Amino acid sequence: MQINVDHVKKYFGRTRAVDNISFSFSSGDVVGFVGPNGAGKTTMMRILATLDEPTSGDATIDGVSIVEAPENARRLIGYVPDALPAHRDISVHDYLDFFARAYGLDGVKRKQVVESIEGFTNLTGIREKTLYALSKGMKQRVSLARALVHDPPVLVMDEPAAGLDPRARVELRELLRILSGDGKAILISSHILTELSEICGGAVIIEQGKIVASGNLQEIAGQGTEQCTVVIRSLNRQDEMYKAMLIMPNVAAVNQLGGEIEVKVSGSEDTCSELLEILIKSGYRIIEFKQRGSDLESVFMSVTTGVVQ
Amino acid sequence: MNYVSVLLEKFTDSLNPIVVKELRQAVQGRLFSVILMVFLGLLLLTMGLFLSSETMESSFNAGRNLFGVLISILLGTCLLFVPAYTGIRLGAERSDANVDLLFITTLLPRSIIWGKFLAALVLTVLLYSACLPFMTFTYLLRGVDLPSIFVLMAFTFIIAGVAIQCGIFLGCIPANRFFRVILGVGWLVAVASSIPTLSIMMYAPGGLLNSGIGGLIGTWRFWRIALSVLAGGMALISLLGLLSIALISPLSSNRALPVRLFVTGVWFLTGIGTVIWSIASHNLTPVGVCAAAHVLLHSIGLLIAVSEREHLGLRIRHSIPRRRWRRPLAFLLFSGAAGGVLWSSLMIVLTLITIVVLVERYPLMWTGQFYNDFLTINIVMPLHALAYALGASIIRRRFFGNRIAGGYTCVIAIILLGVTTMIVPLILFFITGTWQKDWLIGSPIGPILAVPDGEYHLAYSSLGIAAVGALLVCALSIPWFFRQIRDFHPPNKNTAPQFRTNESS
Repeated sequence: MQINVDHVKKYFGRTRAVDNISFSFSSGDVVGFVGPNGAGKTTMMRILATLDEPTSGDATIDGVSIVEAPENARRLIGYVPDALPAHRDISVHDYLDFFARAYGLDGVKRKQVVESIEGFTNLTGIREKTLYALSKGMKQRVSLARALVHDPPVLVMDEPAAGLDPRARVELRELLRILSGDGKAILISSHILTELSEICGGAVIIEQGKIVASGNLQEIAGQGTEQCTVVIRSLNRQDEMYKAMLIMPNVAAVNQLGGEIEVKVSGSEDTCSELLEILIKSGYRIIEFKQRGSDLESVFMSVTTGVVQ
Repeated sequence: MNYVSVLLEKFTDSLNPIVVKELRQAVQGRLFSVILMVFLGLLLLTMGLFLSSETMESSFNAGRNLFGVLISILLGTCLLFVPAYTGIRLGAERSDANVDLLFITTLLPRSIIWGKFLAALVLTVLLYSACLPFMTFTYLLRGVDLPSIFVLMAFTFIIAGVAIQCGIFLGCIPANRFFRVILGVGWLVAVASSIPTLSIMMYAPGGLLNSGIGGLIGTWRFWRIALSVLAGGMALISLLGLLSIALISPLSSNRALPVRLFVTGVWFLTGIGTVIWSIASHNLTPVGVCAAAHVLLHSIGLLIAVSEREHLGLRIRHSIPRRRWRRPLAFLLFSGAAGGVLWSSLMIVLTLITIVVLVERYPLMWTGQFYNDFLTINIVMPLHALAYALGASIIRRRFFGNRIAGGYTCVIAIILLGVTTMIVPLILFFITGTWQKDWLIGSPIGPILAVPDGEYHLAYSSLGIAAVGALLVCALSIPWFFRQIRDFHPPNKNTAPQFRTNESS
């Protein structure tokens, strides 16, 4: 199952909400869709969910075009919007049962599917409660359960972790891991980047409707910076080592943070290795030399400017 | 028991999911239960009061009188509560993400609207079935026969169906809360004022209840009226249903196509029917009434059509026929502002041509003056509508550009219409202190008021102004028409997606 987004544009009057976006992902991938507020994330996700029409371009899910055959594409997509269900007069079970009927599931099969989804999303205990009476975390689970009711191979989730407490986030993350393991392709947008970097294999960062960085997380980290950051701890002569590194070639910056020194090295991992060799040869008793990966948050901050259209 | 539950399960599986959901929500919610209890309480109280009154025993019309009160309570509940309940629920769903969610299922907008309608109809049936024993009891009190009871209940049921569809239509209108409240109050006033009218239709001397329907059932007159009411009710329900479907369909869909096909079909069928009726009865009034109704409908259609999209999206363009000879018809019927204006104009022209041909062929069926008045009003009205519709479109494009969305063009047209119909005459009234019909010269209302009073100078002046205005805006809109005609073609096959590189792993 391959999802291809090809040169999608969406204009609202003169505003380019989505400007020529192309990317692709496939079964088992969890892809983060990241961008500042107003970057066009929700618009792009609504286009993928067939709720909005692109001004030009197309996206295909296993060859099914969202422009030419939106009805067929809908069967392949489970969409979790940022707005949560809040009906006063329908229970969790009836809500899921309704969507199962809407997707054409009949009789015994529908019952089995709804019960298994309730079990999977841990909703069995609250299936008779009305949606209005649920906490935000529970509503999010109901929303996810609704998106899964027709067993779609693709999940598009808009800010599913927004407003959730730490426990609910961990539980959501676990559910997503299981779904990804089951071979579902998941596109997920979130502002909580630490959360995303734990579950996503790749990410697409957009700003002002355009992609500013995309690829797997290591590739993106590489796109954001040409430096390695290493943390060094020595048993002896730490102050002396700090001063020595200030004048070393390839060292861009040095910070002394309590008992450890953070060094920004201009270059690749080879340069870091050379630095370690020099320090050991100079007689420093190094007990920790750890490379700090460029996390999604720092890449996001470096590649985006925060400008909103 | 097991077999019954399996059968029931199979039955609910075959139902529209919206019907199941709506009925479950109605049963689980408190509002409908409360209304049902209040309704039954009112019926019981009314019956108790009637039975305990002193005049009841001596009256030969006690049953008829009680039936009249009971059916008024039923009508009040079914015309006010059920449509309001359905419309408000739909309106509330449209104000958040819930309707969006319906669209990502395989449910079509028509399933949503007809599901809502059917669910509301089931609630109405529930109210009717609760009322039916009381109604039948009135038969025992004398003054009303069983056929009258059942025919009148069927008649009011059709009216209730129209009211429900009207409530759904109003619930579908995309508007803010303030505008929704205004719509709701307007609807409430209209329905509340229609209940006395319906009561008069039933109780007045010679009305349905007094004429004894039982004796009429075997006559052609009864069935002609009954079938006309049924056909009219069904047509109104279908039209409002299609308009509601168009309103909740995504902007990217071909919203106008089903509505235009339906209206064209109704135009054709009612045209054929009333022409045959007119020729058979040697009187052109039936076809004249039908033509006037279509001219009015399409004049309103002109004002609405200019609000449609001017640039078609990819989804509609994919459905445009690839064969060139099919495109002109598709252009008229598909969503699109220029196509809509041309379609409404064409329907009006065809309607008037039909009337002219009929009068030429059967000159004795209509008097010359009546025919003249008919043509004057039915030409001036669409000309004004065309001038205001295209004028509003020009004003929006020239002066507001992208600041006002195309969907609001009809609002500009209505404002312009309001200026010439109300604001200018009122200003002149306050300045001069007198009222003259001539001030309505720029409004389609002017000729409609002037012609019956024989003030033809105003009617012809208004006709002249409307004709000049319509010609002017049509001339100014030629590039607008041509651009939309030129852009009306399926997307080029060469622009189909070509995947070159994947930017993400």
